[in-house]
Amino acid sequence: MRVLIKGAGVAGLTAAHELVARGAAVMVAERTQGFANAASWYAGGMLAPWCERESAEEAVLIRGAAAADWWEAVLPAGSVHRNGTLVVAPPRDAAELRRFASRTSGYRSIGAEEIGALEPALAGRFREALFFPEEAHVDPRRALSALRHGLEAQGVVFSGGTIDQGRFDLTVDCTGAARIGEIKGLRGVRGEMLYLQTDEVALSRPVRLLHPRIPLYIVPRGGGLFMCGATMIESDDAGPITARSLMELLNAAYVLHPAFAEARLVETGAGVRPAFADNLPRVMRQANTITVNGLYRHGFLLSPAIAEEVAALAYDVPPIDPSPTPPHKGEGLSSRCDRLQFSAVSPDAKVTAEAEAARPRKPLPPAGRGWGGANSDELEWNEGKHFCFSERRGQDR
Amino acid sequence: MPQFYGTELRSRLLLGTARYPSPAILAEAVRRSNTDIVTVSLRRETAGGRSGGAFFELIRELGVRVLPNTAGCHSVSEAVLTAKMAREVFSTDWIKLEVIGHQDTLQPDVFGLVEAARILTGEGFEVFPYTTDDLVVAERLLEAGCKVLMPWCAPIGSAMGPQNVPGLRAMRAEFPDVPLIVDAGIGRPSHAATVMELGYDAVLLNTAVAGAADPAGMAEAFAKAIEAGHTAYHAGMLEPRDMAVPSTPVIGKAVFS
Repeated sequence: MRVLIKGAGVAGLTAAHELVARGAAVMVAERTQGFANAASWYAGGMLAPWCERESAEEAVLIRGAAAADWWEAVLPAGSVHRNGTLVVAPPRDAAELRRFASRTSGYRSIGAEEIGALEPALAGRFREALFFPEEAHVDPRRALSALRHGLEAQGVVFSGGTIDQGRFDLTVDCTGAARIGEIKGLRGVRGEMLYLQTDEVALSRPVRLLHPRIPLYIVPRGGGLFMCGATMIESDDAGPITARSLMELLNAAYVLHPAFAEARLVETGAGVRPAFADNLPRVMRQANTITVNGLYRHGFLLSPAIAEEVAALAYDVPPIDPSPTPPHKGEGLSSRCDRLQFSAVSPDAKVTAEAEAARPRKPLPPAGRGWGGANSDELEWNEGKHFCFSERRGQDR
Repeated sequence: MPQFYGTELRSRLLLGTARYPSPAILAEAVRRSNTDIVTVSLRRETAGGRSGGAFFELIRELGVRVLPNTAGCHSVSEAVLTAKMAREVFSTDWIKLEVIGHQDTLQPDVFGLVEAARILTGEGFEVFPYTTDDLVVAERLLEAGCKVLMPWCAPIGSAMGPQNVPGLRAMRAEFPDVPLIVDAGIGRPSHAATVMELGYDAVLLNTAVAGAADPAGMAEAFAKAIEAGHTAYHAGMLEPRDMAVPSTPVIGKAVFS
């Protein structure tokens, strides 16, 4: 099967990996050379499904729990750090720690002594913490680069030019935030982050600092480099970090350890996380296109599961012949949605291959236009809570 | 039912829209609480309102009246600018005016608040000022043209509940005809019931609902408590007494003392 993947962020690369593993001939189309446009370039790289459960649906925990195994199998040895997450709060915000604990599982409440044993740099700074021993983290930039090099070594071509989609049996759209305004219900959640460099603090695992208004995480990248993130702002503006966000992130880093005040600020950045209203991702097959979107802040955590769903959708049912064929009336695929498979196939068969082929490709609307765009009904996903990220539309056989 | 600037509402609960686990859960909380009004921050939630289009669209889709707010503004000019931006984005003259005076407690800067209120009412805004329970400040806000007052009952997000019940009672007594909305500091439904029993017209909540384990369930619980407190206020509550007062006649009992 010849597959064109649009988008070279974490969703596109993981999907490419899974499809190549199943024997597909894959080409990846990228808008720009490199990763600077991908939300995943600015990610924390935390594989922290238990912590995320604080605000995320259960599906994120269930589907994200295996992410560390996937990355470990795919990335070079030593890339996945499986030494847990530490969650701390200043004494005056101790209530936040109890709140966090009441929303999550998979942790151990620890005291000052164990905090100091896990992270000597934080010894004496916090009296209580939550330790999530099963969680892991990767360096997202190294992970993306390694994934890409691995794909190239297997013959996957990356192209920034114009590509004739007709040459492919299947297109997988992983273009994320670029489709805001086109896909109904897709919005942007801006995230700002920064990199600090210092030799005065050493951390071995992600540390989350709880605060009622400005929660922060710091992820060590090795070599005295620390990634601090990330704001959550309802906006699809990818412009530079604001002074306020910079001040708040730095202030929180300073609270975590005063030595961060002397660190070098080596990079600031902002990305737009694409998200649906329930902050859960969607995978949908519509004729010969599979669209993946809405990974929100869970790109590295959920893209392995999503990639497997993409591959399943690609191979379970053969792609529709591009030549127009009349749909079977009233015979939709039955819905399957179970907790292991996590995929749903919609019985709604109103979109035909013909309609898909004839669908005009419209230019992107201006940023911030909203989701009421002219073709916003082009893709309309199921609402509601589910563990299924994928569904199929317009299948007539 | 309560009237704010001539608009009659069905619900006495105003719901903030910040920090829900997801917009879908926010929508469910709005539905379960039957609220008529949601407040939206242009600055805090949406990077100055420059590009929160999709989120604003989602708020509009909730089908309830939007009360934009100036949360996160620390100066008069910032608040006035944000209010004007909000008028454009949401096509409403309503503005919940916040001028924050203290970074840590988020206590309102009442001097800046009065000044900003005067400017905005002069430009045709219908201002809902977030203030303290200070009666003199309240008087100044009314002079500035405000027709609704929103006193705190404790610092924003603190969940402490009413810290100065006599003060809130005095405010109600001082301004019997001004719609009064308790804004900020409510932690649990009993807090909301307490201020409604004092005769307040409505309650504005955000963190107490958004931060609950089940925000939609908590929104419903608050709606019930607010309605209970309001109904109780009008039904006339007993005043506490020092002694037990039997509710059945004592004639015919062996002991009378």
